[in-house]
Amino acid sequence: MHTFDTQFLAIDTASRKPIYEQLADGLKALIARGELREGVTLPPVRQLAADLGVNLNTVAVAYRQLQDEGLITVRHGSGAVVSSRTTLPQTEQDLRKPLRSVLTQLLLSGMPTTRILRMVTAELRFLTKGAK
Amino acid sequence: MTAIVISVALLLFAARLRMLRRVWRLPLKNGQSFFLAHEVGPDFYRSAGAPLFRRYHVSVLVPVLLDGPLAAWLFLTKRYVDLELEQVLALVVSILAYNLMLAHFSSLAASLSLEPGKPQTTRLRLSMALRRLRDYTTPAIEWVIGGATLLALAMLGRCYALSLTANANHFSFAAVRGGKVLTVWVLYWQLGFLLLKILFIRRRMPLPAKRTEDFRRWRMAWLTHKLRIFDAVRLFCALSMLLGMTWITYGRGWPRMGQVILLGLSALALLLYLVYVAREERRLAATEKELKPVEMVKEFPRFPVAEGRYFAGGLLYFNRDNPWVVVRSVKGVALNLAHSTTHIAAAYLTGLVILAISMARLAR
Repeated sequence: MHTFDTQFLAIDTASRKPIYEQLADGLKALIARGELREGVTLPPVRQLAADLGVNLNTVAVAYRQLQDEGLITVRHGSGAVVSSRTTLPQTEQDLRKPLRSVLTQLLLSGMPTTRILRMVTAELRFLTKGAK
Repeated sequence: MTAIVISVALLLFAARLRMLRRVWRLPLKNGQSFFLAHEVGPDFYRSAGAPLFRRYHVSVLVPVLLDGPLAAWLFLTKRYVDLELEQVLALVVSILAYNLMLAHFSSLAASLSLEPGKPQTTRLRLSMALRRLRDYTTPAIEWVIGGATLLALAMLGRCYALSLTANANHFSFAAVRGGKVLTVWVLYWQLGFLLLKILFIRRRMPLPAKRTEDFRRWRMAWLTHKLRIFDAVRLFCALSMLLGMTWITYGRGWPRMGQVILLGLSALALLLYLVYVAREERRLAATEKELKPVEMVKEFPRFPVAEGRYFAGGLLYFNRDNPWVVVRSVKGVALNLAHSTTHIAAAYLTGLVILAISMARLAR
């Protein structure tokens, strides 16, 4: 009749990271892993907001962010559709910025570089492992 | 015929009593340390929770106490068809009322059992898997429902054509009238169960961060159970309509053996339906037993009290920008009158009442 799923989106209301960012990042990860393929329709803003128990604007902002990055297309009436698995072209320098910021955070936390490397490799493996 | 009508009314009343018994026992289902699915302190039922527990039990009795005198009056005045229709409506209203009541008391218990200093849950997960009606549709069932409906409608058309001929008599008109009532009534129920099915499929229940996989399994088992029951009811309705229309159209002219076979088939359909429902309930109970106590892991972030206009002592609420049908209010929960689901449910219930009244008039 139907299959069990593993496409989870996680939200933490106590996190310092805004919920819209958590939502956008969660959806991006699902798109990157191929769990949400091109052409798949995302739930309407109202429905997702009700399911997660968050404000309508929170979901709308997350969708807008994904739209700005070229991952989804939002059309009136038909909702948001995954349009691409790659973001709009960015220079390597632009892409390095967030990576450098995260790596700086990790170094400042006192973590040895070998452990950071292991962590990055594990995360990369997680993101590409199930990629369909 | 009167015996059948009384039997159906009694069956409906028995179903309501069974539901009342289940809802009555629900707060203590998980033991004294829980009120519904909320963990409470050891003295909850002797202190802050005692009035809440009492109020809960009084509320459970309200639907039966409200329609009891009306049902008794209808029975004593021998308005059996009216009694049957009244019991149908009372059953639907009771189901809705009990569900809202459970959400209301659950919210109140959560407020009472809040322990200062205890960390509140802040995390939840949501499955983003596609939720389309076609993924939860069994083509064979839909074909049977569609085929039975078309056949029944064709028979109604034949009855109507016969009533227009020169040979039309009292029975021809009675057949058209009876056929119209039967088909409209059954098709309305079909629509209701289809809407419910869509609602259940589209609603993505959040999952707790703890025991996510167990909870998801329970949720899928629960959803599958509900959808199978809805399909079983729809199938039963379609077959009942076909058998009913066969009886109305041809039954009177058949020899006694044919009539007995038709009645036997109807009884068989009912029996199969009841056996199937019982089997599905056992299956869900087995999953719940295996995953016990998964129901107790309903740890979700506590939603804030919704902002907006409240009516009827805080039970009703109006806010177009709020995406929830049932919102948290200061006094428990409130129904959002601005939500499209509320509009559809209200329109459907109104239609049901109008239909029941017009059917009762036709039967007189």
